[in-house]
Amino acid sequence: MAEEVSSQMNSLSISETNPSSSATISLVSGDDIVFKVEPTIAKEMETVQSFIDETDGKITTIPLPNISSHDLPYVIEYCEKSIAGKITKEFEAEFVKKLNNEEVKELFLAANYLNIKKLLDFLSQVIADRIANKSVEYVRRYFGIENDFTPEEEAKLREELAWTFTGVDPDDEDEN
Amino acid sequence: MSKLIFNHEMQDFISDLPDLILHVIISHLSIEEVFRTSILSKRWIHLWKSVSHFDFDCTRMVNPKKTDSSGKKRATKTDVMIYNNTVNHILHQHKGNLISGCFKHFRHQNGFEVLTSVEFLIERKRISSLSLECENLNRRLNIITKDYFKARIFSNLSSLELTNYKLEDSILSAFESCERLKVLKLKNMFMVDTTINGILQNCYGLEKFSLVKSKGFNSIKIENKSLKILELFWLNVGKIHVRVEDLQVLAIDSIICPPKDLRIYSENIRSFCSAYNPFDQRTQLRYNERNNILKTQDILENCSDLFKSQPINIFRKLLTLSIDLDLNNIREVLALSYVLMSCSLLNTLKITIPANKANKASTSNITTDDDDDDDCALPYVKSMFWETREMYYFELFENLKFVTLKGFTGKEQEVIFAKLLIARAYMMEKMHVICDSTIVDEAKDLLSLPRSSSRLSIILE
Repeated sequence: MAEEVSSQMNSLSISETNPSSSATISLVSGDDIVFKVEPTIAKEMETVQSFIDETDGKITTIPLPNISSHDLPYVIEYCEKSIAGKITKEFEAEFVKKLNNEEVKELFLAANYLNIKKLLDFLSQVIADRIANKSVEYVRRYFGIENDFTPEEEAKLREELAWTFTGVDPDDEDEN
Repeated sequence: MSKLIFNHEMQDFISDLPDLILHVIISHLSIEEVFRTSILSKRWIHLWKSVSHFDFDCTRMVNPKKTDSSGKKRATKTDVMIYNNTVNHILHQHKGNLISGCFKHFRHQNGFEVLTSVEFLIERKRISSLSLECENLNRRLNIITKDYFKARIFSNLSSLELTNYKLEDSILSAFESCERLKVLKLKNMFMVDTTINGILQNCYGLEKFSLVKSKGFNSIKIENKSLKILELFWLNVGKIHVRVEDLQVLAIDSIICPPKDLRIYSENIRSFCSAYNPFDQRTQLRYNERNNILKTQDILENCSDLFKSQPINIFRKLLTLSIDLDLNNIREVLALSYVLMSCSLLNTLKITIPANKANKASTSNITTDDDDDDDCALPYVKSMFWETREMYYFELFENLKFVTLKGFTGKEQEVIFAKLLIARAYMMEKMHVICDSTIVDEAKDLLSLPRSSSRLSIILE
């Protein structure tokens, strides 16, 4: 319920500032697909907004070479919900259900690149949830980290940190 | 501009990310997980030492081996020592400042020693957000007194959460000069009137206050001028007095309080939320107390100017109204209809119709059949109720955009209410009807009705 209340707070502040409608912004994904969005959506993406501001709003077509046309709709959907003050626990649960591990990571990078604080924070929570209680090997695979310890070094570390292993789940067979 | 043109390989997720971003991810992990990341690779060995948040959860850090007579695991003195030492060890290796810290510690005579780390966190690590919780095995609460906290210890915090403690008056010294505290949450606490009210007076800069499942007090007085959000969940009290002119959000869930002694003097509330769930295990109410829980209708009646005894109508400036209310019960609907008349700014209306009492409370003594429990006589047929009032809602319909009806059962009164909105609320954009799969057909009938708003979409779930 608390989440609900705070999301309502967001909607309050939104409904008080009446967004004036002006020209739409075109976001161009890395694979050259154009997505037209309202200026209010662009505001949520700090990287895009600062680009618009730098050019005094003259340029409304923004290339986003690092973001694919597969990921961009998710980002836009989240931003739309966010400005409508409708980010609820239920919405986030549904949103994340659709995403596999690879997509979560891609969206995380997209959110980082676009500098969307709320989405970044939400996705870090999602990633944290997905690596919680997982083995060291699993987390390495998840992040694509190369193990640069010698077996002796690793064994020593593991011994020192034995207490942290009480809650580790056995690795699942399917990992994606 | 240069930021926009850089390339990276999607596959290589981690190596391109700066430490700062990795800190964000691992700050969401519990402490032993954070610590375990140091085995990932050499880069990660020291990464954890700069996280901004620590969550020291004893139940995850130490696994007590002894069990008590009821089969529950019980921490021994050694377990407690391991926990306390680990916490100290970690805190002293950490570099830089922390933003927030959580402690969940054992309920053991030595378990409280960890609270001395709080001082270190606040004074040396300059945390602004702190959460303290005592493990709660058998619902007995442990007392924290001024012995654990020096005076004004909380004065630099902006957010504080306490769970499962009994507070005594002596603790008030710790709350001195707490005017910077903006968020306070007290959950499952025992405090007498002077303690809770003393804390509220000391923390006069509060912007959000949540009081959850707490006992020991009979009367609370909330007059914090900056308060914006107030949450009162699962309480049993004799008197609640709220005088905050600029309160924006009020949320109430299953509280017991004589309706007339719930006194709210706040005319600028934008969002009001009222839930009522007597069967929620979390309320921990005795069976005979359940009937005394304030229903939404009680609050609607007593906090509006429906009865002349109450001079202030707290609903007048609402933008969002989210309530548990049985649309089939005329007395409840009467209260709602009165309040709706004064809500000329209302934008979002969410009504949850409680599941049929007969299903849930089969053991209760209430044997009246539910369909006809009109506890008020009307001078006209029940089905005419909304029709006779339609003309009063002109102002309401000017702003109403979003409506949700949850727990829709397709009964006559519910359908009439939904029809009224579809036919008259000409600004409505979205109507969400959430119902059981068994009555989808009744709900589908709503879709074919003539709509007064061209933008309206009706969604069934």
